[in-house]
Amino acid sequence: MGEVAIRVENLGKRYKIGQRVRPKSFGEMLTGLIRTPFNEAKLGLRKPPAQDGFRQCEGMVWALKDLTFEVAKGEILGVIGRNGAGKSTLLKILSRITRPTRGYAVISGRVGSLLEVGTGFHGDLTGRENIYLNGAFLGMRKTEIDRKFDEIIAFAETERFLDTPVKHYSSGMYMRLAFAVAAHLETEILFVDEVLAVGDVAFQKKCLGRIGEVAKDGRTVVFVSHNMAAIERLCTKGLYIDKGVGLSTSSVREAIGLYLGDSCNEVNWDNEIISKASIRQNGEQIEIDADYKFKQNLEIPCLGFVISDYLGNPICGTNPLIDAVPIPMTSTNAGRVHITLESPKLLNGTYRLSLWFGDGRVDYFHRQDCITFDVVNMAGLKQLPASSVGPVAPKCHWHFS
Amino acid sequence: MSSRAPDNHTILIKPLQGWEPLRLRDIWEHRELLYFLIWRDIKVSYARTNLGVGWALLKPVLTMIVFTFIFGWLTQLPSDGVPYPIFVYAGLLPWQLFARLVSGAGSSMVANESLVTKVYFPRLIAPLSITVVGTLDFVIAVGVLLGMMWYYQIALTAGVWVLPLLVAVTIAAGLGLGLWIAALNVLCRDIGHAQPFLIQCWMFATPIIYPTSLIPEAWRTLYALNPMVGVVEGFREALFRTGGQSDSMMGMSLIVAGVLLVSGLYVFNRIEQSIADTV
Repeated sequence: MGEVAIRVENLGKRYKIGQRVRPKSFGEMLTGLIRTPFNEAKLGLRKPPAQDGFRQCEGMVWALKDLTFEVAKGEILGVIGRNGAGKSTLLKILSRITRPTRGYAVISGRVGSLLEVGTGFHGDLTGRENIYLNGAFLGMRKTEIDRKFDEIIAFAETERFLDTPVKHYSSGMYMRLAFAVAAHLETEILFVDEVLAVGDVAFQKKCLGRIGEVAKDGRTVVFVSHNMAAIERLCTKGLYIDKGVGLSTSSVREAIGLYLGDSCNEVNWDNEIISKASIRQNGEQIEIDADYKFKQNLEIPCLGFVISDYLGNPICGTNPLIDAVPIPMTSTNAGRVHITLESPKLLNGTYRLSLWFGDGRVDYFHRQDCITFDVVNMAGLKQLPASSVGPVAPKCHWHFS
Repeated sequence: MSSRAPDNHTILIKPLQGWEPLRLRDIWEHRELLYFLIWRDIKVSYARTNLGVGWALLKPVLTMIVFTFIFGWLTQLPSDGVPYPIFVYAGLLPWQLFARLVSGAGSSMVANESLVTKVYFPRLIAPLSITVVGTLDFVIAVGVLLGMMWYYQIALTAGVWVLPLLVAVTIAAGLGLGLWIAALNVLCRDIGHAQPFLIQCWMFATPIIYPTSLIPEAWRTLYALNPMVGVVEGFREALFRTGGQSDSMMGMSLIVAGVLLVSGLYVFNRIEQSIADTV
């Protein structure tokens, strides 16, 4: 411990977006090709001033800005952030698929990266052949693959089809085989990007377990995922990235807290009865807020909500009339509704919120699935996966006799 | 449970700055991947065919038959006194290797797009694999040449020692041009569409269906800038002793092919670093 495996210093990556500027002619493209390296060399000598460095050029976007962090040997870094925050860009740079625009990274040790499972799989080749080909692409030596071959096929549960071209595999078998090879990649440093989201529940569990094993083996892992529960269970350190800027390399919990606090759990509407609505997890409760403004005074601001799972299956919902909330003394036409949801306790996962608003007789406002939000450890640290037991935690009294 | 060799290599990842060295050591370290790619390319190119490797023989032979019919028999093109079928076949052999390398290496980045954007390997490995596979096909096709020489009672001369050198020149020129095309194709896909046409024109600018003696003396130096002219001339000279002025042409080929290969390597190396962003 203590030895640094990965050091990232002021790393930045700029992408061109939108319409690519096409060279006007073939000749221009050729001269551009030859000239740019010299321009770049010149730029490299001039150190850009720190402030001015990230000037927003037109059609340019910084996917990563000034990212600095260190990962010690044996640490498991969980990288989290919203879609487009720059997590995948970071992994692509660290895996040497693309170059950074600024800054640098130093990696000491043999690197393996899993940005996708089944890299290089070819449909016309058999399962056996693809294991070797895929393994080689991931950076395994042939002797290494030979040694682990039996383990890999046992893990994939596809022994019977070893000599069948993989194009005849079912998609589940294909993914299992692909992950099995990836799971046996034993480099000192491993980059993993959300490859766990494959296969059935049982297989996902197996994969998570495998990453845990790898981690216990003293390897350094950088793990990017949206699965907060997996991040919390596996990682020893967290890095939260927002809009290309790394915000924390502190504990995993802190990083997750930042992510949840920041995840886009708020929506605004212009010229609507509801101008703003938000939902967030506060410890073991869920809080919903909505600001309303109606054309006339209301007896009761009848805000109804439904929480559904990520696929849109409703889980629970209510409104003040159903809940028999006492009617407030004064009637107004504008204000805020604040709801605290103590039960049911939702299991880890991503959920959606739908909202209704009316005067108790007619609904004047309805937004289906207007906010997506994450729940982490609302029902405690020990949980069964929502995908196998459903989204809510039961509250039971047990009696043994 | 595993015996990991404590290989202490440290990687520095930094922005692209100017022309970079070729990092041949990195390619050497990935030699096993190169071996697997060669094996894949061989396996996949003949997968689901009944004739399998037989196609490596059939392609040049069928082309020879068609050319002999049209240009040897119908058009009655001269062939420096050598029977037309073997005259054309000796030209087709290096030419098809060249054309294969140009098109194969040229499309290697776009064809392997899914790999290039998902996993690191020295990108040069993909065109190198195609080079090896193309050369193997060439070696197979040489078998037919030997058979034809036996049929036409043409004895092997001492001059055949230059043949390996000519093959090397062909590979250098084909790979070099292929690397240029691969790099440009990433920037602009038009190149990929133009490439088959380029190859077709190039074939007519090479003495395959006709002898170099048809080209006016004054134009020969310019003509020899095409590296395949010297190669094809050299092949015929070595096999049939046609008595051309192939030495200066071969020298020119060697130089042009060398320039193509070195410049191709550098341009490719230059583009390689940003391929994942632009492909």
